[in-house]
Amino acid sequence: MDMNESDTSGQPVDPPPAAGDDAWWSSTAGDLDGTRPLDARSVMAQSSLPPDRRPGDTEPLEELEGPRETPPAPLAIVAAAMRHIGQVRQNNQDSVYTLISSVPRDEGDATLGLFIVADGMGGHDGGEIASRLAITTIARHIIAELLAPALEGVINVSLQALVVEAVQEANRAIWDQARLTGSDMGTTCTAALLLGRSLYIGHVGDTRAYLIGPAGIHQLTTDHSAVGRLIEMGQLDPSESRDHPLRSQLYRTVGQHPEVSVDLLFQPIGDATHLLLASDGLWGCVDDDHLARIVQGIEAPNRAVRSLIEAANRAGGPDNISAVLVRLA
Amino acid sequence: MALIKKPGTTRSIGVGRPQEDAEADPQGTTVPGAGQRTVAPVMQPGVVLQGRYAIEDTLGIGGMSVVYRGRDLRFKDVVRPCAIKEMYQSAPDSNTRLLNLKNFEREAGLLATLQHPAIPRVYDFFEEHGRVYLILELIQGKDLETVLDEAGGPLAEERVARWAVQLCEVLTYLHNQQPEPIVFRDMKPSNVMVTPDERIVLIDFGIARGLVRTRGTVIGTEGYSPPEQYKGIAEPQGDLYALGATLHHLLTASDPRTETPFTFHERPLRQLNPVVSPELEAVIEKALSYDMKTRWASADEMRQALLQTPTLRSQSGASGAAPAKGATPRGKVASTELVWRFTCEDEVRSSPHVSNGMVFIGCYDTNLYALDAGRGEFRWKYATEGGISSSPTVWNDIVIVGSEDGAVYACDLRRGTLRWTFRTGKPVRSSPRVLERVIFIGSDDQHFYAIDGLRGSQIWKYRTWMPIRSSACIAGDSVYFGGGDGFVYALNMKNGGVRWKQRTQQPVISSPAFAENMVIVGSMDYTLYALDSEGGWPIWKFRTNHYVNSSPLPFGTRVFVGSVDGCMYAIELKNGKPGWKYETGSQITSSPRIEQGRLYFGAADGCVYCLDVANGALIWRYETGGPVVSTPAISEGLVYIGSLDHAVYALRA
Repeated sequence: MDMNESDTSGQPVDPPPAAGDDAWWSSTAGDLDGTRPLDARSVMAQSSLPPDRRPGDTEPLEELEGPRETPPAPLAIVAAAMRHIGQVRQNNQDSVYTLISSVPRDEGDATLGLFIVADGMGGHDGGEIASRLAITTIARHIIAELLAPALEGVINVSLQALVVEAVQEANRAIWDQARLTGSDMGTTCTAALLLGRSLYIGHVGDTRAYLIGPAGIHQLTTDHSAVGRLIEMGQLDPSESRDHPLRSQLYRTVGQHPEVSVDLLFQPIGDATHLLLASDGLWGCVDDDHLARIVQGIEAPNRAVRSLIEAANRAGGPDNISAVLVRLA
Repeated sequence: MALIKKPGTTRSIGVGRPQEDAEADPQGTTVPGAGQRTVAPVMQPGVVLQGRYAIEDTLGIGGMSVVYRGRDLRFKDVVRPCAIKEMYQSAPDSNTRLLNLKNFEREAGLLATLQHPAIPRVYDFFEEHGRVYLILELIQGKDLETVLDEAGGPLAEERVARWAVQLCEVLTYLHNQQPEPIVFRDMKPSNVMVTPDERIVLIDFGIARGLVRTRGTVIGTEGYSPPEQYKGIAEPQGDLYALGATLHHLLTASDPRTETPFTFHERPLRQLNPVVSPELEAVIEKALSYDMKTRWASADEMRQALLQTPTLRSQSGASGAAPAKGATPRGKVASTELVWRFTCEDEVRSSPHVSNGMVFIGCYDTNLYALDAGRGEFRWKYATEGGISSSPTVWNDIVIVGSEDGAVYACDLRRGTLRWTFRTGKPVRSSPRVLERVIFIGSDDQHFYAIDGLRGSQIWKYRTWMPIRSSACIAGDSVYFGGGDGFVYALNMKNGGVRWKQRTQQPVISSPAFAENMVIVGSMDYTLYALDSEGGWPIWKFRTNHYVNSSPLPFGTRVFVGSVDGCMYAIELKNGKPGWKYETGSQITSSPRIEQGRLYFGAADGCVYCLDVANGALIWRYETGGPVVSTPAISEGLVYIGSLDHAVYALRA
């Protein structure tokens, strides 16, 4: 292209500096902030660094290459868990679990949390066994597959798949155990894995996960009951769910079939201040706004959890009551 | 935990019915799974009731009854078999026991008043030793759940359609009972028997009952029950819904009890089993209407519609020959109109950028070309000192592109005159991305650069261990890209500080995309990754059968990406599960583009493909003279794309 040939010398054409330019980069660009005409040779010089350093070269990198990102402080989270037999039941078939760990990372440590509520069902001791098996199987799986490698600095597993597999493994464990003992036991299970500032929630049944923040309380999970499904479809009013005679009838549970399909949610926590996992013994007795008021009104999660359980007991405590409350900020 | 909490069945009134995994027995009770704890008091063979009915064998044990195969001894010269249904009570609660007894008596009374070939006849009903017995016609055959299990897959349309007609007939009979219609209320495969001569018989009338138009008890089987049943409403239309659900199950082998309730419309019949005729699908779809009023008005109306479906219509011979299956002429695949073609002097690997009525594209002949978008006429070109595989982008009045000669060039949009160059140490195959006035680009010199777009000066650079050929994705104040070292990087856009880096197993050439807090990118480790944008951890992975060098395109609830394995994939953003895939049989490194519900990309077989974005169906295919690795640009109804046959194409979208 003839008319361009003369222009290929590489001389940049200096545009006038942008007046009143306060773009984000101007403050960090130092002498390149647009106030000084640029010499093409200086550009050339910049790129004359030896480009072919090999992998494994011990020369530090980022230190050479400009500012290093200040690592964000890991989340200072606090969790409290409680399960209560309630006012009517003879035994407590719920199980709860919490784990909080920091995970070392070059770019700044991250927080790893695992929170589970399982609400067991089945005759004799089946409910207790099933819910306990659920939390232990899931915790063991996630510790082995995620936490242990993470402590070595490697997180390469697909987190959604990990959480789903953990719940499915619990399903198999309970199913196998049930076949062995001739039990009809099963459990709900809501397992929330927190990594960094994102939640991965595996969910089967009608234990709920809520996020609570400045915008109020938000139910993350969908109950696996026909009633829950009808609410999701807009055919029943959510307020009806607490009183519907078939509220507790689940179409999906952990441990009562050889296979289970697990709902998985990926949820960045954003500006939420609390994560709440609640069995139906809690959310069935205390409405969402009341839950949020208690959680937001009490600073310490352990006292807030106690207050939640008390509220359900005051409402009659017809079922076991379980909650895990995590203060995220 | 409420005792009522049992999945699978809503028969909760103390019936203690076993779960759905229990096998159904031929006479309407169910055989509990091996794990069932309840032990029914089973009578041994040889026991004779009323001096007349001899127990021969146990057929099944249910929650509240045992069914035996028996023989009526009053017929001495012939063997007259019968079914003996014995009710037993295991519920501790006396109210429940009373209710159970009433149910049983109702079943007996109901059956005794009915006469239909698809309803078992009642021979006798009596009490003995404090237990209640029902003597029924013994139905030879299998229930449909067993038939389905044995088939191990969907059943043939014609067979199912014939059963459906018979089921409509018996429902018509029940629904027309006087003074009140009888609603069966528990239509499902395990409650339908098929005899060796393909005759249908309904079993288990335990809950069918005369219609009382008040809010009643919710009874039925989840998965098959109509939604209104959860409001206590049981109308004849509920049986049509359950029939629709049963037919859907038989034709797809997709068990509704393990699916989310009321999701049939999300699992269209023909999507699960494309062999089913659209006509039959439509009949079943109407039966499965959520709203009772939009279902078939009656079982007979549904029957009439079934008779018009292809397999039954052609059988009746009334109409002319139906088109033979699979005889649809497999004519030539539709192509599209070539609007113009512009030939360069070497391969066109670069992807076009359309702006200001012009198409900008790089070529291995070292030139950056500007062509008229409407007619393909040459406007200008700018020669670099190396081939161009980087794809140009436009910012304000400049076109920016990288070259094999190691430089990034910025040319005047209208005249093609050079504004500035920015030199890196190795070829630039990454493509520029611009935000505000900053240009982000990677180089084979292992660095990722932020360049001032006005002057071509460096703002910052970040060093990796291998060439960077991936192009950046900018979201929030982070910039994401992949490296030849296998890492996906997230840098602070303002200063190049590293926010996170996440390792894949092989080099990353694909360019990331951002959607719903995820960074999505392919790797040469055959996998498409969705990474947490804040921490870099894999949220999900989707594995293909070869390199994923194509760059993902999120659109709606899905992300679209090609693979060297030859497939274009539509993957659910939410969970990384496949939606559809389209197989070209040829490597795909081109990236998809979507416009007006159509998805466009190129493949190594030289073709440009246009698919329906909803289902991956081929709309047209246009063959160029060489492999197409370029990514199309769509504008004003035209698809622009480069080919290794040295040409740039403009095709009718």
